[in-house]
Amino acid sequence: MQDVEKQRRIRRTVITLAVVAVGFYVGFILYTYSMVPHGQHP
Amino acid sequence: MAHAEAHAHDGHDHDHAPSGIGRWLFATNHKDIGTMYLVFALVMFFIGGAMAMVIRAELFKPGLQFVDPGFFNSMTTMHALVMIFGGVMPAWTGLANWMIPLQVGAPDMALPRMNNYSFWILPFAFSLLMISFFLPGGAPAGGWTLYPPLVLQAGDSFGLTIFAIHMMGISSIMGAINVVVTIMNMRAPGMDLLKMPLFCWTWLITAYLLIATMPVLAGAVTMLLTDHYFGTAFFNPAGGGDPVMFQHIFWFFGHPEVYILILPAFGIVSEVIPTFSRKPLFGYESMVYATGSIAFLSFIVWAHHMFTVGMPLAGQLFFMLSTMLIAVPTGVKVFNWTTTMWRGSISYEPPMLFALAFLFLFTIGGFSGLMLAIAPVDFQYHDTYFVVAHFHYVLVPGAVFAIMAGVYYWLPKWTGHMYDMKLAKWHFWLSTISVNVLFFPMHFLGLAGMPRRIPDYNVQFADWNMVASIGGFAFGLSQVMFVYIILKSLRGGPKASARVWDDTNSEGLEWTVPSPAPFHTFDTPPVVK
Repeated sequence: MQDVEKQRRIRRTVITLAVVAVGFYVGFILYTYSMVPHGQHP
Repeated sequence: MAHAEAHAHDGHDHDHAPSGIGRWLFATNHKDIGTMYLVFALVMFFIGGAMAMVIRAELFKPGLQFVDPGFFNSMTTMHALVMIFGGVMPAWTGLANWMIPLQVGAPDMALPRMNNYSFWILPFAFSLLMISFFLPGGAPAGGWTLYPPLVLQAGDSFGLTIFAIHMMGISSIMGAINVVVTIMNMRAPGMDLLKMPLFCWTWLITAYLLIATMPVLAGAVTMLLTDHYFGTAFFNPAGGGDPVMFQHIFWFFGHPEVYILILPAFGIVSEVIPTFSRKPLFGYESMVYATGSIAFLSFIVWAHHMFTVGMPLAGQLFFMLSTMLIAVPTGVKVFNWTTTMWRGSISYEPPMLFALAFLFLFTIGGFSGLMLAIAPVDFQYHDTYFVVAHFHYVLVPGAVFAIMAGVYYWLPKWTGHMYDMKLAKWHFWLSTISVNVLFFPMHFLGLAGMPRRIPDYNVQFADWNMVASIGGFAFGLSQVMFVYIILKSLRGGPKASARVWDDTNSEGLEWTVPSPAPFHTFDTPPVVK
């Protein structure tokens, strides 16, 4: 039903979108982490 | 728009539907999964609606009547979470599952097994959320926006709520990936992007919004979780954190979320109005670009939800003006729908009635949104019933009416029977009148200064609260008709043709397959001219 090229395209789209989603998740946590003071406080 | 020139080649029997409970547990068929999503959403609408009834009963008159204030706060919080994540979003995903493969001429969604996972996560997520009612401290009560530090004072329900939100997010992201992949890779030959029905277009853009914003919500609630259980201080000023930053992150998700709830509604209305106006949609391409513009703008307006936190004047101006800009593409859409009807041969079947009500009542919600966008004015309206009136106008006679328009439009395609038109028109009129009795007085209450999320109020607000509660009970009761009409049409009724709306302008590949749509459709891709 689906040729090899189509399957490859589908896989590529899924991986790209999943990477974007995980990137946003990790990115926003790291961004927030960078915005608050952390480490040793005097 | 694509012309329905495909061959109705699916007349021969493809109905190898599995039987028994396994058909639903292990479903990979887009129609079965779509049905499950729609049934789940309907159940959630009634659970969330029951919570709304508790709220309106408590607010029927001043003083504490039925529930204690803590439980009242749980009701407002859970009503929102259930309606947004359990009602409207799954209803859209259900419609997407049913209709997108049929509209683009694909045999199924691109990733059927992932489709099954994304559905079956939801009942577990909502079970967790509901179980929290029975834990010490009760269900979450700090508002669906989960603002710290208030939300960090929650009882044992906190962990369950956060876990449930993570699961809903994962489900939504998987569903969105499925929609993007299906539309980008599975369209029938000749179905160019700019030939797709607008429901597919609006869902494609919605899916991108979901993929970009649900991880942001997940990040925000993960940080709440670590603040609560692991001693971090992302949002805790005592440890150098900033609660206002949570609001920024939350609304960076929250505002696009508003469009996630409404863009598919634009798609449905853009299908229904041309059908029953017997004219092609006016300005098809401008509709697509307007949807894209709204999606883009939705990312740069988030702080209009938090004008009162004390942001710099430049920030207020930017978010005020960018918010007002959204009126431009939205105006394009309203203009196009109106122009589509202009000199059309209009008939008023139930889907058209709901679409028309959407057009008028969503626009009222849009106008009150413009009022709220004015920063100095918002200082007065913020956290009052005016805001409650505004977002209920865009979500109930907006999103929910569009869902009903969609269901009444495609129900004969799903069941193979025409439903009871007379009852459906009764359902429409009762819903439309009562929804206005319910929500319009909230504008007055808000302008008079009644705060939201309170179980008791000053006697000056008594009259309009009573009116709103009567409207609420009437609206809730009217929805029982909706279930009856659907069940009746499942049991039987006049046979629906493949075209269903025979003497109209209905276009699209879904009308080329028989009614009810066979279990497998478009095994051989149709040719779109």
